[in-house]
Amino acid sequence: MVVDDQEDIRELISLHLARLNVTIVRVASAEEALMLVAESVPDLILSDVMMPGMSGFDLCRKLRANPATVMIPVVLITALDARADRIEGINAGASDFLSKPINREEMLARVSSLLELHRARQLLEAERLAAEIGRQDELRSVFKRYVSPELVDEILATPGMKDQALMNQRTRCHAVVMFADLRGFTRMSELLDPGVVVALLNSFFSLLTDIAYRHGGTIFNMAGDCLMVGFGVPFQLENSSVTACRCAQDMLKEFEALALNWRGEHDVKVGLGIGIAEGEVIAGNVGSPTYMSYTIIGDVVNTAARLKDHAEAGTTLLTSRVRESLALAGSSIVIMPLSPLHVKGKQDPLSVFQFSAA
Amino acid sequence: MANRVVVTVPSELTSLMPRFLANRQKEIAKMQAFLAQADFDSLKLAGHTLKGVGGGYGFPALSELGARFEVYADARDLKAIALALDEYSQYMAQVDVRFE
Repeated sequence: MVVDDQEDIRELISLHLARLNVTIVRVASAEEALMLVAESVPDLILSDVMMPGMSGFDLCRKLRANPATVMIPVVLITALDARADRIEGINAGASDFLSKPINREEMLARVSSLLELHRARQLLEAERLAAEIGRQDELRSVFKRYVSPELVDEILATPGMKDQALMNQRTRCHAVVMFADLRGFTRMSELLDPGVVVALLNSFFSLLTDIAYRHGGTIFNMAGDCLMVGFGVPFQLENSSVTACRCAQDMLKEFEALALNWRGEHDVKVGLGIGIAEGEVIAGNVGSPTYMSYTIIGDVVNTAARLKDHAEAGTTLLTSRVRESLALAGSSIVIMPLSPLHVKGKQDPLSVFQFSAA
Repeated sequence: MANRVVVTVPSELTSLMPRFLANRQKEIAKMQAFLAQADFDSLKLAGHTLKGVGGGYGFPALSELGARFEVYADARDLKAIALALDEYSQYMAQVDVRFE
């Protein structure tokens, strides 16, 4: 792109540049140049310095301030020969200078060299981008095992979140833990062909996983007929107790339709029992050097698992801590107190509450 | 013909030369108007333009003249500018371009 308010100079430069077999766009002002650059980024700009309106220095500064145009080589052409002006040009981000009157050979040599450099830089940038995309795809495939595709996008787009997720150390955080368990699985396994059982389990986990992702949950474990979901871990989630309970309500409700379908097609009676607890957990990779899995550890995890064991089909059991959080958040979820529950591994009975599908 | 000034320029400039010469005539007219108004800023800018454009088209004498306009405008020397403008006008009237 050639930018000069003087038509004679524009035409002269264009005539010389034609020897390089390049496409030349001529503009009469820096303002017009910026408008055109916004539409199509040129490989190089040759610009006059002293022009009515915006100067070549200002054009340079504006190009350098924009990430989309920062890499464009800019050659300032000027009749100015004062050192101070060249210094201003360098400070403005000029790649090179040409003096008027223009020497054809010098201009062609400088432009050729800058174009070559620019193309090499573009190639390197393309390779770097390809590598980065490859790395992002790799990270995406790791993250998507645990969280929703939307959250994966958010993690990858937010450097802080990505770093947090990739941290190799364990993190202690406040979380809400949910266990969802398929009732009637053992009987179903006895009655049906294993191939059919696997297909049904897949549809069960697909349904629950989709619902968990919809509510911002993170899948930490999927074993047998049971799913473990964390809310507020490893990423903070506002009102995680309310969110977890809404998620449980949706699971109970949407599973009803699936269970009805299984009953009709396979003559099996199944249900869903859920346990929810809230408290401190440690999230991180746990295992041996040869096998590790990303999980959450803490008493709250055990409590949620025990509550799930006691939850009747079609219900969710929750701890008093979850109930308090629901009350604090002004939740409209209707819950009922149950008799204190003796659970395995706990000395004292637990205060528990219950709700069904909404 | 003894007063003609012959300037030899590269033949690749053939297509650009008519416009270049016409623009110089326009420039002289503009500079005469600036002189009449004692508009030194515009005279300096015109001199700057002439300095930049002359040599590129094979007219180093015009670049040199343009540089002088800049100096005279800075000095606000109307008399020197008037003389230089006459010189510019005369040069353009006498110049013959030869392409090679």
